[in-house]
Amino acid sequence: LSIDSQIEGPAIVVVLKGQLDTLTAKPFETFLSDRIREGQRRIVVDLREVNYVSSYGLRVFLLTAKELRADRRSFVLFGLTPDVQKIFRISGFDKILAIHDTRADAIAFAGG
Amino acid sequence: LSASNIDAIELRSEIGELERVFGFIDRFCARAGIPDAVKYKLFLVSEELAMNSIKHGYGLRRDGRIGLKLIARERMVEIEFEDEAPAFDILRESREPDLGSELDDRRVGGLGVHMLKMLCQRLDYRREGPRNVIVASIAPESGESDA
Repeated sequence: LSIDSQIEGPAIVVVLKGQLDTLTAKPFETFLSDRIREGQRRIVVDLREVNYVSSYGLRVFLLTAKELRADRRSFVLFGLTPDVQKIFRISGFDKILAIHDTRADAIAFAGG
Repeated sequence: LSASNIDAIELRSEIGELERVFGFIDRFCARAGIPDAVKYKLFLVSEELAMNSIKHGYGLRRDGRIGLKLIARERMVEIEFEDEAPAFDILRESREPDLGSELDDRRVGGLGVHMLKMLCQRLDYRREGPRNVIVASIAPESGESDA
């Protein structure tokens, strides 16, 4: 998994490439909690080039969304591939997380 | 079954071994002509079973043995997973996740086994002497068959 980020107005867009599994979930979780600790209020995650998310990856999304919501900050995902969409559907995460199709929509929703 | 349709790998009960699991499945799917949509299901099921075995079965002991066998049959792929951890029926002993609840009160646990059940057409557990054996079969959904 590679993790990059770009600042876009008041939001940070985290670009993931590769697969989010037990082995890669930890560095991603650390990356996100560092951004949260720095005071980022709007985090957007680009999943266009992620082909696989396991339950350990989903766990990071859930924990981050909970933490940010509790603090009235935003956490938005976009660009899920069909295979990843399926995983979100099976887990029910498509109903509890903010998910958009495009980067522009995701940033707008995050309040960027 | 031809040689390209069946393969097995031996693993130690270490999280780092997942890397080998993904590589093994990748190569198997390429040889047997299995589409990506099915490959990622094999990833999910194998990762869940392996992590369950490593964490709960072997209790993070690193010297346990895990066997993973893949068999590509007509219109489905079978995973045969085994370990030598104490008897543990993953299907019976895990709680269901609360899929309906809102973000704030959604629990983190229970998700992996739920996903296993959703992804597998068949999922059987048996104790065979010193071994736990789980057989899971995964079928492509309609519309994504041989694409």
